[in-house]
Amino acid sequence: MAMETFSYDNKIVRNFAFATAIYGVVGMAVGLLVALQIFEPAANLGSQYTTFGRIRPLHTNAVIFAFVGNGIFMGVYYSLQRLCKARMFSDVLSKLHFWGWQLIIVSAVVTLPLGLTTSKEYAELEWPIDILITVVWVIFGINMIGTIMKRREKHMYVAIWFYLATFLTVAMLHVVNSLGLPVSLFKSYSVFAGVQDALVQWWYGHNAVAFFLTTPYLGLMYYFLPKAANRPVFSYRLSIIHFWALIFIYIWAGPHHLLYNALPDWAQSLGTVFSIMLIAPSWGGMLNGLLTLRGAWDRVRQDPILKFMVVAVTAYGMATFEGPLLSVKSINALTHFTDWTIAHVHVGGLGWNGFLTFGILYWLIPRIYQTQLYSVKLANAHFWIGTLGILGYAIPMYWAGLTQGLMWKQFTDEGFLQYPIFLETVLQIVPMYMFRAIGGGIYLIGAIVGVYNLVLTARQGTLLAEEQASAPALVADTEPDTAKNVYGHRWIESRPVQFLVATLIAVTIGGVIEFVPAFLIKSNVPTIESVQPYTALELSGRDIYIREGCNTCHSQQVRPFRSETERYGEYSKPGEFVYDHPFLWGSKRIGPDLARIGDKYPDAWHYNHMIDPRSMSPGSLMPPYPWLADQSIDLSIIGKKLSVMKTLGVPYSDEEVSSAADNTMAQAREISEGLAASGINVESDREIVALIAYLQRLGTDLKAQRVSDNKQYKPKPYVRRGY
Amino acid sequence: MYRQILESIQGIEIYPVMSFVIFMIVFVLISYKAFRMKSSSVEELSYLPLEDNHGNIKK
Ligand code: HEC
Repeated sequence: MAMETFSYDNKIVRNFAFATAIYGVVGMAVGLLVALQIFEPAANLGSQYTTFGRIRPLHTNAVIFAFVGNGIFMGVYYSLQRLCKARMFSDVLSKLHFWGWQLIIVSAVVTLPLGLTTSKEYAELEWPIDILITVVWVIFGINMIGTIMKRREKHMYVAIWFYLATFLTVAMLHVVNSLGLPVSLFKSYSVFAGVQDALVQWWYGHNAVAFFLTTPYLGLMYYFLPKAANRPVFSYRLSIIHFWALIFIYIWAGPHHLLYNALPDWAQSLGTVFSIMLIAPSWGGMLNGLLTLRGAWDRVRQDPILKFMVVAVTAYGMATFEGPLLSVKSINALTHFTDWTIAHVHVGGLGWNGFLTFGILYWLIPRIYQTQLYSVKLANAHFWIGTLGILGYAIPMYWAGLTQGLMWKQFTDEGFLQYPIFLETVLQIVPMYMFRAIGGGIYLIGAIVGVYNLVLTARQGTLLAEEQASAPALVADTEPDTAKNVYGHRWIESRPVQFLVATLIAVTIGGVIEFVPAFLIKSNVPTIESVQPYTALELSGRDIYIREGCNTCHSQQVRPFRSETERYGEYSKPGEFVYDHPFLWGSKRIGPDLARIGDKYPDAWHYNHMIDPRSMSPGSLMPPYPWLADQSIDLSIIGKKLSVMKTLGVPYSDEEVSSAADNTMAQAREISEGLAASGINVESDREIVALIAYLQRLGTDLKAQRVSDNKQYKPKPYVRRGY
Repeated sequence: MYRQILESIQGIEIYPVMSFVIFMIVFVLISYKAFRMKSSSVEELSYLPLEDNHGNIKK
């Protein structure tokens, strides 16, 4: 067999490696700023561009797509070349991929603080950036599959299966969840509404965790853990089962994010059952990783790289055990909307993704720079600081989540809510928020120490940009076509195209079965006569609510518990949201639910509360929004907004569309006159007026329904403003 | 945007059951395939990432 010589591209690996290190520090620093703002709103620096609702998405996007994203590509570009015994398919594509991805990150850093957002979690970026993401992702896919096609090793090692599944599924998730109709260059509406939108969003959100934070990192684990330990994976057979079971089950579990929300029961049960089943493959994978180190624990004690990896895999096991538990309805009833969820994701984020990334960096940088790690001592220090940081973060958040969850549900002996004032339950856990910020700060310090160590390592070595290698060319299939070869798993392991098809089938079945009924069946979303589309002004207000990220702190979803109906009012029905493009149910309650806020307070209360929350709710942790009283409503695109909504199926008349701007101002004047009567003088074209109109509308349609259903019960006659 | 084509579907409860059955079939099939693999080829495949680790690999 003739040997072929070629070289591995280490420069692209180096680029992604430093991108992940730098964005890790940046993303975590933004996280720390967000954490400070929760207990000290003044930490928003008094600027709308750095206020909580806008930079919390910046934090999540930065750590997911910039830190972990670049981490994935670093690991894939290193391991794929070696596993395929081939250079990357195209240097040009590698470069386009790298710079394209950094361009996406920079666009996120610019647009999110400007409030340009779709509001859908981890999919906040607006449509032009979504298109860019699609293009860059496809470039990555072509480059990866091209490399696999020209490989010199017949069999694709398990890591590669995880990479392929990642590519395929993320592409599908991203495209479906981003479907929207543009209103302007930086504004679009989701084509889905209400329940459907929620289902699609959490099918995406859940599987973004699965196929962006988990499967690619499992691929990395299957490559770098054996590498660092210098021994093969514990059980290759187990890895086959791990792979197929995991990708097949994961996709179904999305609805567990919507338990007790306005979602059909069968979809909720599906989410629960599949979430519990997920324990099996997840733990199979974890054990496979940990047992790889059996008999090598003495080395783990000395080698910081293995330590990082062991804690990472353990954190993976903890998070994937906890996830299914949180999907059990009775547990979810307590933990959903609380900080428990935040603790859960940070065990995964800081432990699994963070520690595995650093473990790989410490292993990889000295190798491509042909040197030793600058300081093993510092790496050990980083390990201990990081571990302390994870504990310092997670423990206070579990505590906070449990405390607040219990307080929300606590009744007095007389049957009243023990803590009817929501703010009381927030102030109770403020010390926990402070400890959390300290824990996060410690972890960040560790990360900075790590980056310092890596930079000095790089400086003392020289980059081996082109690493020479040689391998025999892949000759045509010489194995006899015995039944075993044709039908065994080995068969598919050497056929990337068939492999992709099988993966595609595995990941689409779940999605299809979940969506088809929810989309086709009317009875799943019973319509409510009195639910009407928003007026033009209310729609403008809703877009301001989205821009400011109010949904990062406020849910709009009253769950069917007595503790919630007592506190907020009637529980939410699927039919209430049929005109909500996008849905705004939220996932975390730092403030109270707003689904029934309409008519609860006078307009003047809202005005004062928005300008300075503490004036109305002493000690409030909600940030002030004074700029809303200075900025004017954008009347130029309001007509376009209504017409896009109309295209999406919201029943606006042509007349309503054409006179949208006039109607906006007419309703706005009515509100500002009312405010003037209470001694508040504000121009009627100000954004705050639109936001008040929207808040006052929330939940009132259902009250109108009750009035007509039951003539006995008349709360306050609901008069729909005629706009 | 979406069309509400069907007014209702008979026996929606079958969906979760169906999902479960599909999964079990796939799972059993894959496990069967995995355990039927030849030990020698399993060994060979699991060493793929270590091929360029020069020096002593603990077998
Ligand atoms: C950092 C989290 C946070 C953000 C962001 C936030 N809020 Fe709040 N909000 C709170 C908290 C905490 C309370 C409870 C204390 C109070 O009344 O101020 C609250 C209370 C409210 C209330 C009163 C609810 C009631 O039933 O008493 C309204 C209305 C409200 N917020 C609207 C908004 C709007 C509109 C936005 C976006 C422009 C927003 N909030 C952004 C945290 C937040």
